[in-house]
Amino acid sequence: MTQTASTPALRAEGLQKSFDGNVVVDDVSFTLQRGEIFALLGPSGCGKSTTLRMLAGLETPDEGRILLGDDVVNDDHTVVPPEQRHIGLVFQQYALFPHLDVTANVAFGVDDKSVAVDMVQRVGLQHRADAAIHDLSGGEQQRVALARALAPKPSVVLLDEPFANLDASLRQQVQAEVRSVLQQVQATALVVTHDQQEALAMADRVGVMWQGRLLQVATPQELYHQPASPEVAAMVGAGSFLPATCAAEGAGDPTVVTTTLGALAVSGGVHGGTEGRAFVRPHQVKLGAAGQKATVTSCRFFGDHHVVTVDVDGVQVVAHTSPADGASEGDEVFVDVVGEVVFFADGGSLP
Amino acid sequence: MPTCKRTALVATTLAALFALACSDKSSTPDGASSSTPKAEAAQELTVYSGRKEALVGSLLQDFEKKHNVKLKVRYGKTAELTALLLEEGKASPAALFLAQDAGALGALEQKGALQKLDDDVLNLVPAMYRSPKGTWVGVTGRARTLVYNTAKMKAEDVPSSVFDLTDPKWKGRLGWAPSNGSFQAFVTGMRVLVGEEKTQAWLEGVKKNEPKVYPKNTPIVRAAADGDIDVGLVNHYYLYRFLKDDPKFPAKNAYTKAGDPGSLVNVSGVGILASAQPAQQKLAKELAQFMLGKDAQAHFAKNTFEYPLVDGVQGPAGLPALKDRQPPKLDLASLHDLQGTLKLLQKVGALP
Amino acid sequence: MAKTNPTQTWLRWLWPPALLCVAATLLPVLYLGVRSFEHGLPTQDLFSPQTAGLLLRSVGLAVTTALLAVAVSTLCALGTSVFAVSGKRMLHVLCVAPLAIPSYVGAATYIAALSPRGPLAQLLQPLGIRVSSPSGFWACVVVLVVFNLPLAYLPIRAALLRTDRSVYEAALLLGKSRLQALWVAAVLPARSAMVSGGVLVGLYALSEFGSVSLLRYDAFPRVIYLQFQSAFDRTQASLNALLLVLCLVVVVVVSEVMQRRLPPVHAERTRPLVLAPSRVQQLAVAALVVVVGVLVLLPVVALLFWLKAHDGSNLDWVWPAVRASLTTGVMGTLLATVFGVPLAVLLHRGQGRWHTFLVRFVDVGFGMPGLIIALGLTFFALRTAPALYQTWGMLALAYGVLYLSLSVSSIRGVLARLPPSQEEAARTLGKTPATAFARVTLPQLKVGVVGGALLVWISCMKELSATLLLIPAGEHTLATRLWAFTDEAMFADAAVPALLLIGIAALGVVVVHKTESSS
Repeated sequence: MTQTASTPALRAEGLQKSFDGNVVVDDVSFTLQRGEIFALLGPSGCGKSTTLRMLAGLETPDEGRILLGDDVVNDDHTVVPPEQRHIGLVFQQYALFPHLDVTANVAFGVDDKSVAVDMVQRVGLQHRADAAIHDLSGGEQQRVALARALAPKPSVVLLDEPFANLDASLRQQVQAEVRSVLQQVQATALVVTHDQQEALAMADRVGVMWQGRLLQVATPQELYHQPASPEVAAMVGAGSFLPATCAAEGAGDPTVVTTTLGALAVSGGVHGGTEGRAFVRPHQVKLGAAGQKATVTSCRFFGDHHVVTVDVDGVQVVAHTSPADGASEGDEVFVDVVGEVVFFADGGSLP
Repeated sequence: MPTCKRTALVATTLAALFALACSDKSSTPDGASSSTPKAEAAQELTVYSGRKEALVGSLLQDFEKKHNVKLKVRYGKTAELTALLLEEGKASPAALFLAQDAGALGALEQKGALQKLDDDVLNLVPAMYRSPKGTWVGVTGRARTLVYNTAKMKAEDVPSSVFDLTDPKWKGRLGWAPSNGSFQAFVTGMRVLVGEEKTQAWLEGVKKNEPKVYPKNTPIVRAAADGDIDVGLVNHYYLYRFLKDDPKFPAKNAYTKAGDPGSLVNVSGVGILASAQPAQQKLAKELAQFMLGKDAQAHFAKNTFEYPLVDGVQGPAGLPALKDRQPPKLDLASLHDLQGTLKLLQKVGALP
Repeated sequence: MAKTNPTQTWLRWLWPPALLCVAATLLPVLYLGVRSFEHGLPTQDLFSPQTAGLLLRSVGLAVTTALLAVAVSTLCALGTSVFAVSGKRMLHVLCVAPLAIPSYVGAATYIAALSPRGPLAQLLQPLGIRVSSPSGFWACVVVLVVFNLPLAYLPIRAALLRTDRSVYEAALLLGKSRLQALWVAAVLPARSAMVSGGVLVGLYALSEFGSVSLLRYDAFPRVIYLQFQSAFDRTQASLNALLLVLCLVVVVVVSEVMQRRLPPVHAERTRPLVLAPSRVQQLAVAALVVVVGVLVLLPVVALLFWLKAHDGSNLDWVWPAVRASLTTGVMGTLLATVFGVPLAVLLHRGQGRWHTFLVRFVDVGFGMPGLIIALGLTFFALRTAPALYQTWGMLALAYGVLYLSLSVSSIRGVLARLPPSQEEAARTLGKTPATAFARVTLPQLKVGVVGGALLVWISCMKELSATLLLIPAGEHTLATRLWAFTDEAMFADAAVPALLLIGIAALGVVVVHKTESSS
């Protein structure tokens, strides 16, 4: 795979795919820089797995181009089959070969066994190098799958919901390990996931997909603080939507909207209309002695914080409080918002 | 890996077995002499036999030794071999056919599959036991009989004519084998003797008595002894085979009166096939003559309890002599009309 | 612009061998067509209403046998897979054992054993119980079910072994009883195996002639045999045989439609279900062991009993017959295995309904009576390749046509369980689709290949009708020797080839079982 120094490792342009008349991937375009870890985040059925399969060559897009480095692997005239794309894929169910042991699995895509042995060591399985696949735990199998995909030194490695099958307690640790391995071998990786925590923790940049479309591509921080649409906002971190209005053009402060929780500052200013919704993160919502009157409808304890839902004039708002500050259903509290909120003008779809 | 080793082991075993199987000289290699009539025909003869190896095998081996001939024998069911011969036609590798019954030989004769035999062969048996056209000759006689259960019945109780079997008192007590060649030959004989209508009436009458249906003769004899049926229509010799193993076998044969259709004596016979090459014809003729020789005929009498057809050979021990049997006056050649019999049996519902 | 799915193009290389098999299976059918229509179009009176009635009886027998075989197999398979019950291994062995016993031997021994003068009658007489020889519809069903049990039992058990524990537990938690949960988690996903096993049993029952006629039940194949035997004008016989072929085709088509309707069950790594049995279930399994045991072992016991009467003479025929049986077995097995893999792959991966039905046509071969296949191949051999006539090669071809379906069914069952992601993974690792198949899927097919090969091998050894007509003259297999002796009521002699057949087949089963359990 030829690449000049500045060429992106992977470019997807206008990918389009339908199954039985349903549009599954709708004009998706993005770029992967070399050495970066990119996440495609979205709920089930949003088209992210199909996109991944098209990148790998296991599905053919109806329209669009895919370039790996300088080479066009997919366009209207050419379809390069998967075996020639030099792309690695870690399957959700690992798809390990049961009739081969660990080292043989990892060595499957390479001619030189020493490369495989090295890879097995890198993922920390040297003591299980001769084990049969069915004797391994879930986490060990995942490492074999990763080692196998990385051994041929692919230009890009794709990971399909890699941590979905792992216990929650293991997940964070494994995420860190995988990220470490990927960085060690300087791999360019694309991770497909529905778990926002995973996307935010693993990736340098995240693309949010919804109903086949790519809504926003940005760093985790940008996505969190400046979501481009209500869907992105809802998908990246928790929050509440409040009905909001703002003054008409030229008739008041364009950086403030009026909500049931009072006047709130909008980051980036108001545009797109006068009616809409304000998006408030839970940590911005303070329960105290001042602010709007509200009734607590529920309170759940999460160890390092409480999640308290309050009802403010018929609108449900979620707040995070410190572990010591619980509340009971029916309590009367006062609610205030600190910091800036994000405003979405009406016309977008409801989450 | 253990699985690979095991696969290799199994594969090696299979290969070894295969090699072993192909290695023996007596196996016929693909495409060799047995199917090309010209090669080495003087020393080899292919025979299709509807008669079992247990019965004729030793005879054929004797022939091989005496005449220094290699016999390639295909043993099978007479009817299926007949179908095969008709399918093979002129390309048949067989030179001689040993048939269990005359009907099969008649069918082959009708289709021109048999050659005319020489007179010196034909004259070995009485005229009624060979084809009037001279294409086949009987080798042993097989008399129709009524086998009965000795525990439940006495000899006097058994009817002296098959026509008595339509009496309602026999309801549920009879056994027959409509799909069996010998039975079909018997029915054909009845058609020739008394005509189509009477035969149909008889069949319908017996059918009303709900006879138990068996595929062959042997099960009928066993059923008679078991008491499942009281009377069965079979050939005479099966009983003696049972008696040989078990002298206390509770069944006996009863014979219908002279001239009755139930007294038919059918034959097993041989015919030389039209597809036989000249060199093979000579050998086939020798084999036919051998089967009609004194030794072979005595063999049949002693071992299979069938009637020898050649003069001067003693009949099977304990049986009434063939001469005394007075079978109905019937040209066995006319027994070839199997088709008509089958249609009739289908018509009355005795056969599907 | 529609582009072809890149994974499917290498499959086109499988079509030549597949079409070869279909062509071979077509030969007897073409023969029947020639003989049916050589005198012009058939007239009305060639089809009698009795024929139709008999056809219905045969179909009824086949359907009942198939359903009962599937039901019994499922019960037994549940006992040997999902329940951790004592006696499990014995039940498994008993359910596989009928493979080794030809059904005509089974029928003959049942009849002899239950004869009013037989040993069982003597035993039960003091108790006042009278026995009579089995005959009729239900006797046929029992015999056909018992001696074809492995055809359904083996695939169903393989499917049940892959029951997902989580589904079972989820059903329980949703309030279902243990039985309902078992139904949902174990039985429903095994439906595909039930269909394929049931079809094999049904096809066999539709064409089976020997044991059915022994039990005195009028069935359709008997019509065909009788009419071929009248030998005069084979038009009627051929027409009726074509009717049988049509029935077989309908059965195959219906089963394929059913298969395609069923949801695919990919066995990703699931936790296997192993249940502790209740008292009732324990007793039920014990009862099954006893019932199946008696039915299956009775023939062997009867044969040993008859063997005692043997005087030890006249045994020269043994070794040549054993050798011939092994030869025929090996040849047929090689053919069926070599062609079975491409056919199974095409069936499983094929796109397009017509392709599927074309390939499944080979199943018709399993249901065709041996006589017809022999006559059909004879017809064509004599006209096109006379040198091949009555050689081992042609006999192997006949076996291939007859039993290919067993091999395909077994391999297809295994293929269906392999997740497609494995080959996709291989492709992302740089292997072409064909290489991916060869290095990833093919090694895992071993179990199916070996299992199918065993079924074919044993069936070839047991085969009688086609063998009698096509084997090189002068040669005998154990099966033809067995027939020769049983026909003449020479039971002591018949016991020898029967026990040898059973012994060799049983040996094969043991070897395969060991191979399976070690992999």
